[in-house]
Amino acid sequence: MMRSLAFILLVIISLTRCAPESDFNAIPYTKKLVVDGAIESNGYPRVQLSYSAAYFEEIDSANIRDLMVSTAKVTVSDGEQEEVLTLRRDNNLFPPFYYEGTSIVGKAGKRYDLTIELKGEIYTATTTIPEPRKLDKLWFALAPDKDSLGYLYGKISDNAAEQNFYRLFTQRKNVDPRFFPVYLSAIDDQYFNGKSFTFTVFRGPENFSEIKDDLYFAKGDTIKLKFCTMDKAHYDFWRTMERELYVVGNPFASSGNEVLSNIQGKNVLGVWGGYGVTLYETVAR
Amino acid sequence: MRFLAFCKQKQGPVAAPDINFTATISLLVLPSCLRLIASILITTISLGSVLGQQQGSILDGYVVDNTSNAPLPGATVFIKELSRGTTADVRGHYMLQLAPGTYSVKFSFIGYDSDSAIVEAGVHTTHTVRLKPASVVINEVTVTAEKADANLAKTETGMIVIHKDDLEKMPYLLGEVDPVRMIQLTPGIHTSGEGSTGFYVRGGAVDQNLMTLDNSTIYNPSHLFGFFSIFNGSTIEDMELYKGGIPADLGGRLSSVTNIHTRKGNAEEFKGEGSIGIIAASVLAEGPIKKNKSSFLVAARRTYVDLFAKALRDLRFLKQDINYYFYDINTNLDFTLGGKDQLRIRGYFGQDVFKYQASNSFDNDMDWRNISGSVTWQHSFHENLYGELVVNTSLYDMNFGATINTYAFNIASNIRDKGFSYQLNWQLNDHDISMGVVYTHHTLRPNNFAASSDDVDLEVAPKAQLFAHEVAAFVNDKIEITEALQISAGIRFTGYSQAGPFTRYLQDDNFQVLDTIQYARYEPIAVYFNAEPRLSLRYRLNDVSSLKASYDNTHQYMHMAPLSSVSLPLDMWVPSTENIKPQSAHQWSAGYFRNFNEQTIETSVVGYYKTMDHQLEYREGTIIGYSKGLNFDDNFVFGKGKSYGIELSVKKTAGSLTGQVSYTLSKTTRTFSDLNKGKTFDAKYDRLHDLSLMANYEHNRRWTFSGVFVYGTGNALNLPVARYIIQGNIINEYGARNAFRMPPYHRLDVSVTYAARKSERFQSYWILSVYNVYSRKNPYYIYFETKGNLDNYELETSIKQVSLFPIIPAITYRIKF
Repeated sequence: MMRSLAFILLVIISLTRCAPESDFNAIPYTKKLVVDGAIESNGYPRVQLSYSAAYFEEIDSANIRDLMVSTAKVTVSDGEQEEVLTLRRDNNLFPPFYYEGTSIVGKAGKRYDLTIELKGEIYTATTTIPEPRKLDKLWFALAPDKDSLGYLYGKISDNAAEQNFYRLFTQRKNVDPRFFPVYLSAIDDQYFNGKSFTFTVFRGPENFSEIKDDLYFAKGDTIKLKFCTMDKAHYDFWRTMERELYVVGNPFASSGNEVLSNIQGKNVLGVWGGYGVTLYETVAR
Repeated sequence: MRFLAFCKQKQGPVAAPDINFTATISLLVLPSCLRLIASILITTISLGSVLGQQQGSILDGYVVDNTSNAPLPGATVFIKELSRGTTADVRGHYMLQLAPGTYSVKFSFIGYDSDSAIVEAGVHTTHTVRLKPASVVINEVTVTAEKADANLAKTETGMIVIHKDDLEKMPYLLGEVDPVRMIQLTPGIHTSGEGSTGFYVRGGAVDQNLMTLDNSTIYNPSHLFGFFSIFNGSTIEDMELYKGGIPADLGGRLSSVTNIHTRKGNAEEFKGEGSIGIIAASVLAEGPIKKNKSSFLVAARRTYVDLFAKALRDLRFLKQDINYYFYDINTNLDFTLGGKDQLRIRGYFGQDVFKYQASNSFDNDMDWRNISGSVTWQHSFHENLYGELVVNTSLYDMNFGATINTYAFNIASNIRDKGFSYQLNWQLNDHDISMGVVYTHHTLRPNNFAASSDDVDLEVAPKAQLFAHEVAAFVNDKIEITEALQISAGIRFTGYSQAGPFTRYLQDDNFQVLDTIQYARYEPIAVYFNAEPRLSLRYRLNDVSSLKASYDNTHQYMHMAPLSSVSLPLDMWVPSTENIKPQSAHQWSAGYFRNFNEQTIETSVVGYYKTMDHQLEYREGTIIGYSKGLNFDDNFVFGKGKSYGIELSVKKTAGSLTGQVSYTLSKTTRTFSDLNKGKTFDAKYDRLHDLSLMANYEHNRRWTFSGVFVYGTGNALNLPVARYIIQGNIINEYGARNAFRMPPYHRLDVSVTYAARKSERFQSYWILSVYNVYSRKNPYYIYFETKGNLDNYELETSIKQVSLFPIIPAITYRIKF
């Protein structure tokens, strides 16, 4: 009996040694190409490329350059003409490079193909620009208990016959360097299909890695609003990407979340999407 | 809808408080509130059945407490002349088959003085004995060498019986003894971690454990976000947990069945108990309605943390209005109707209320309650045949609401059962047969989400109220084939039907509705039938050892998928539907049981292998009230599970030092076609090692010390493997599911009880307890924080862990009279 106990103990001890450790660095990772490309109605195609990094790889000014991609050949085609995009630099962006076209201009109802050639690999994607939609109304109102801060409100009449995907951006004139997506910028009409629907615009941060702002617009702000329509695959990327921003670390969400990419190829992430754009401008008062 | 839906920005420095405009933020407030609260907090009826047989003779009777008449289950009855004996069952009843003659019979029970009697065994002799508690000189109680051993004799490979006395040996936590904590210390059973009353049995999910309180199902037995269970320790008579070799009488869940019985009031005289501590007070009163015929017992508890809340708001960590309390009430009535009938009436009501207000534009409240009631009528038809009719009901109900600026939303879930069961028990020669039928009607509302903004009621998901019927019929026979070999064989037939009214939305991949199907009232929608064979056998090798083996087949029609790694009252119960198939499991287990030191040290080694089908989990990235689909079951995915392990246990049952060491080595995996690209992954609660130690030392009649230590491998969880940057946002990429591990869970609790007065008429105790003695920061959940700035080309990621309960000392004063 004691001998069998000793044997059992021995088994346990040997198993204890291979107990899973909380070693977060242990999982090997191969970096992937990240594509962020868009074409707006009445705009030129624009693509940013970078690489992903293993989670615990610290990023500093020395190694961040390894994540930038500036040697790709990026081609956009609308079925009639084809254009190789030109590499440009903008130090306000990360990565500080982007590829932009000069001849193809986005048109509602058309399809656009993207091809990226990099280090012998080929990556492809396709998107469409749906018809732009209009808001019924756009206004500013003070938030309860606030003297000068408030939200922007909008009203849309959704088309019942089709499934619509929307995305919203705002830019405060002379304050924001460019359009920023609002909080939960990507929506579809599942909950208000065919209805007239009023929504609140919560001003989004420049990005989610550094939030120091509130959600309000201030009295006196001149606000530009970009109201976009998208196709399903394009919407799915932003839907799942934004979901990821909210799910991460949230104990009230189920774990794991795949951001759905519409780019084809080996080891690739990201999006190539068309926007049908309607622009508005209002002064908060 | 999406505009108001959950939003959160854990990836960076937390934004200004004004950002608390969304629901998730309010959800996120909860854990910190929990921490805050934590830091603030610092069957028992004699049956008239008389058994007999045609040849030989029968000696039977009851072993009861001489003052309260409470039965003494597990009491030993020993025939000196034959060197054999038996133990009393849960009703305190014992029975022996003897040759006619005169015998010297010894009755003994831990904590009681032994009693002997000379019994003339005729054709049928009844001898009931009243044992006197040995409370006055408790450390001198000797356990007789003849103590027969229930642990060796039982057929069940995995059955745990816990009595009131066992419970009292546990460390009190915040002045309370909690039966669920006791369950969590037994082998093969893992606590689901910080802030949860849930537990995992042999690799099964929390919902695979049936918990009944006096025959009514309890769907969420937690108070205070799981710190306490709803079972009031002072009302409990005993509980039995089955995890292997489950007799066919029991079913409804895949992994285990726990029946908790509250006790009968004292039928002879009025008695009372009370306690007052830092966070809660409790009272209990019992006594006869009609002496020796009928009795009552009423017990109530309430926390009063809410009363301190106002004062705490002045402290720096409590800026907001936060309020929390729970209370519960048990009411028991017992009637003896003539010599053959017993009537038991049981009622329970308990509620938790949580309120939180951060500012005028944000408030959040949450409450949940359990209500249960049952009426049990036991009737003895014949000397060896008795029947039990139970009519029962239970309700679990949860509300979560928040108001954020112009938006308001509310999530409501509930589950209500109404049912009855009838069971016959028939003892015939070497057979112990039980058979019966069970019916339950379920009504559920799974997470009904309502939201509104200023001018519009948002159409979120349709309000679903769901109906289901569940039936079972069973027969089980325990057969004593030889003195050494006993077999328990049974079969349980179960049937289930989801019934209308119900609307099923047929949707395409984008959740666009293609068609709807309306089911009329009472119309069957999804119907399932199953047969569950059960078999177990025990072979007694000698007086001190036995071998056991069993096979169990179980099905489960009601399910709960936990949304995240955090256990919350928001986890909802759902019925089986066309999409959600009944869960099923096969389990094989075998064990070797050996007692030492004159049966006072019980040891066992039990191995098990279990396969599970139709397991359910949430689809990846689901957020309550945010995710798509009009059917309540759109966000579930289904797969298989496998679990195996070995359980070791050593238990010392006598002497001034008693205790138990349990260790489990196990592995649990899941395979879902929609998760982890179809590859097998470790279940969240896969726990390679699980160790628990419990000790109780009675130093003398005044001082008692007890302690519990638990250790478990950390839960498996999903964490990102990589990140990338899109428009300045850092996005995570996930690798294999559950590839990471939380740090291990371990904790030591101790308590000291000082008996200030201990007489027959009045007893008073001071109880000092310390929860989490070395203030181990056990992980409640884990998240990452990324610091730095892309403008400066600097990013650093660190792991953050939220823990709930630090060291919590408490002092309680208890009286009994």
